[in-house]
Amino acid sequence: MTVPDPDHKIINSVLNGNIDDFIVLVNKYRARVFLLTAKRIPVNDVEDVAQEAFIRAFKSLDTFSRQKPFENWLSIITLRTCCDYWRKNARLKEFTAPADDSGHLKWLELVACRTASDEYRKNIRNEDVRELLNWTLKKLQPDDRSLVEMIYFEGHSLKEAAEVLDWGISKTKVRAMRARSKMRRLLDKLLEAQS
Amino acid sequence: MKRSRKTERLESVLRDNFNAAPEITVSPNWQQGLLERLHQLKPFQIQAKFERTVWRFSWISFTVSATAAVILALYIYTQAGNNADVDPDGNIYTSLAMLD
Repeated sequence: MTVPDPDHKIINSVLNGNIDDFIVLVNKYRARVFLLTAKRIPVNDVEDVAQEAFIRAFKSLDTFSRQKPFENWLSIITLRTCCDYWRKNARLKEFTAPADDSGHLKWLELVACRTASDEYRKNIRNEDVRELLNWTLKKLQPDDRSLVEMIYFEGHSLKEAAEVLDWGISKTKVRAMRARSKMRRLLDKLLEAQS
Repeated sequence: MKRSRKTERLESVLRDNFNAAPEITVSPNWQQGLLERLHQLKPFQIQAKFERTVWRFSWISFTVSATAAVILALYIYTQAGNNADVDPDGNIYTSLAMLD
């Protein structure tokens, strides 16, 4: 005997007009949405993007198939919202290279030094590394950025990435390989500039 | 070309940094703001559903009408002349005879 998903009861209630019940789902999955968003979006915009993800989920709640857990469905919506954020902002913002910043150079030197692996892993949340990461990712196309984040950084499968971007597997595979090559070329250039 | 170990190490550092996302402090008004936006959305959502229904109905009507028109046209085309009980050739001769 299968146990009914408690989320389905709440979803039915929301669809019947009890909007306030949606907050139960928000509280339950807020941490997940914020975690996904905080990895991808600048700190100042995280709250807005997380809110937008919940709004989108609410708007399309009637299309939720209930064959997969609500959390997975919400995660896909959140990732799509993050991807749309970069699509929208890629046209608006100019990004500067971090090459002349002493903090970034210091980190690149540490990376270049073979014996320093423990040193650079000590402060993994280091802001300089974060900026370096953001600079690298901003150099990629928004879709390529999403692919690198999902497949190479988080370890999602090609199938999952394809579902988020609404692409076929072959296209996702080719684009992911190209995106990673481009990212590696960027990193090569950074290291060359440092040495 | 063999990938430089430095590049791989740098990529690994960036991956670790990405996965160690900064801790976000959610502002106290965030949930209230979301709830307000949800309440504002309600009429629009109902309107959107109504529009979807209207569009669906329009498409169904259009498809049914177009199909009926095609069937009617085909029927007229295939049935044309079937009711004539006089041979067309005979008609010509009758007409010619009337000219005399």
